[in-house]
Amino acid sequence: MDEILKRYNDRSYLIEAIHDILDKKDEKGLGDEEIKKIAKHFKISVAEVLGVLTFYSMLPVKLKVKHTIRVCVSPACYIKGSRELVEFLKSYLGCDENNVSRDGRFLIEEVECLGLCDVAPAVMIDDRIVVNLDREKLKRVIEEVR
Amino acid sequence: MKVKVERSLSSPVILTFSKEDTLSAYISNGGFETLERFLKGGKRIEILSEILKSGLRGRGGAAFKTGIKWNAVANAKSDKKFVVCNADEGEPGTFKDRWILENRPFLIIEAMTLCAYATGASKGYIYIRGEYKNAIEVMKNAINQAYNEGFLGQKIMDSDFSFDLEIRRGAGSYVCGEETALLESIEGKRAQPRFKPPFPVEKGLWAYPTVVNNVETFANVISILKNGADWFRQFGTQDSPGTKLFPVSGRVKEPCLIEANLGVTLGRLVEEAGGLDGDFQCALVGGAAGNFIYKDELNYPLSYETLKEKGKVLGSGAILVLNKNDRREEVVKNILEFFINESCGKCTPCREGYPVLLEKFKGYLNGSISKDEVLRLSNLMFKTSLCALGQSSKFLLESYFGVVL
Ligand SMILES: Cc1cc2nc3c(=O)[nH]c(=O)nc-3n(C[C@H](O)[C@H](O)[C@H](O)COP(=O)(O)O)c2cc1C
Ligand code: SF4
Ligand code: FES
Repeated sequence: MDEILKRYNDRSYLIEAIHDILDKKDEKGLGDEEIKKIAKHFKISVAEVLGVLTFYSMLPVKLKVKHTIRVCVSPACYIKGSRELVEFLKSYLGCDENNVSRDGRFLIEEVECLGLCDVAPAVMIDDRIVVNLDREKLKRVIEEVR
Repeated sequence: MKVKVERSLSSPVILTFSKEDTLSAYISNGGFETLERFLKGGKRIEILSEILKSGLRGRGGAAFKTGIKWNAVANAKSDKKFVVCNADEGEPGTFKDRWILENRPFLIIEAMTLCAYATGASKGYIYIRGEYKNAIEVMKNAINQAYNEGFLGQKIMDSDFSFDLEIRRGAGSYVCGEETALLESIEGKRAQPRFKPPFPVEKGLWAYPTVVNNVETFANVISILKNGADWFRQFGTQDSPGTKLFPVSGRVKEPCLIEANLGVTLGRLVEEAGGLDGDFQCALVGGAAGNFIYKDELNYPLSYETLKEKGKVLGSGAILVLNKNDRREEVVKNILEFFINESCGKCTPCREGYPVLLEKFKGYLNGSISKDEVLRLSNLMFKTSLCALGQSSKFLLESYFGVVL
């Protein structure tokens, strides 16, 4: 983390730095100590860092899952059944009210258009794009990354 | 992604069928010739006047004349100016900029450099949405190659002109696509839109004059400068010159990206996308910020001005086709939920309005509320919201109810 922060001095790099830190982490999310460190590095308040973290949906706070499954629920995917996919995923992975799977490894997020509408319904599992989905295909991919 | 060129278009302006993601491929296709010509003796004013004459309009949704923007920044007196490429592409149904970024990254680099040269800017940013991992990677490589070969950085192509270009990643927020929110985000802040005026051309990044253009807008620039404004005007219509990329999805047999003249009909685009899958009901044109277009408009030309005559918008050009089995009201609810989620919360009409609007719309569907009451709120939000996110439901709902107020 120190390595990454060293590369960025100016405050405008706050989001870039957070991206880089998250990219390197196995478990997504930032803890209190890390947030304090970032604030100190950019000479801004912790509240300001938290403000940014909570504004952007891709920047998680205090999250301990390994994989994030982002299911697009915007219109092109929606009309092709993405809501049903979300419901299926939740029951398949036994998600709690925070949409974290029973084994604690997966987080399911409903996201807006991923720009993959021509191959809807579409999902991103971490950095990986999976398209033209149905339940079987989704199950297969999840078992692969699990 | 499948791409197609509409039949009546003699040759595409933007689409290519060979990848141009290496510098050598780009150069062998005539890349950086235009930049070289201007850096070695061409006049800045020529760039500005050619873009103005071409009548090119912004392809990000608002369709503002690009030449006017560039001239405003060129004429602004300031020791610092910026050029920003809006690659936040978040409008539901839209996947055109992604294709350009992944396939023709150098075209954007060259266009932004020429824009900087013409306007007097020395630094540029490409703001790419964080979900577009591949596009970010391709663009990053392209920028590195361009730096290594002297097409970016100090004294470009041995001229006196220097220009630095940097990528900034978005992080999952639709409102970041709004130009002033995008500037806030580049500055590393929460992306809440600013009050306008002042517009970015006067006070943009860190309050310096800034050009903000969409990816597809920049993608037109090199061919205009290469072939001239008159050549460009042979495409499209009088008031909407040029071609347009139309991302077509939904109930068509082959969803794809189509380049066509502005003024093309919806019917033609559906045909190019392999024809209908089911019976045509309507199309959502322009994404969430767009509107419905119906069967009687299948042969109506799609251009900025023709749709405006009907009180409608073309927006990003996204086309989502619905068939008779799809429930149009569910799509409206889906979009209102989208706006509730994506509202940045800065102003009351949008933050408080959308949840109420959704409830009213549901009330309309179960018969307890009149459509006028729904439209009244949407109109009030249109008049009082700070940015277009809070104003967008007007087009959607008016077209849903089939009325133009
Ligand atoms: C909520 C909202 C989202 C927007 N999203 C985008 C976007 O993703 N890409 C884009 O180019 N313009 C978007 N715009 C339009 C920009 O504000 C701006 O008009 C555009 O970047 C100007 O470039 P252009 O003139 O080349 O179109 C959005 C506007 C609003 C209000
Ligand atoms: S209209 Fe909505 S998105 Fe735009 S500034 Fe107001 S609250 Fe934010
Ligand atoms: S609507 Fe799902 S990717 Fe565009």
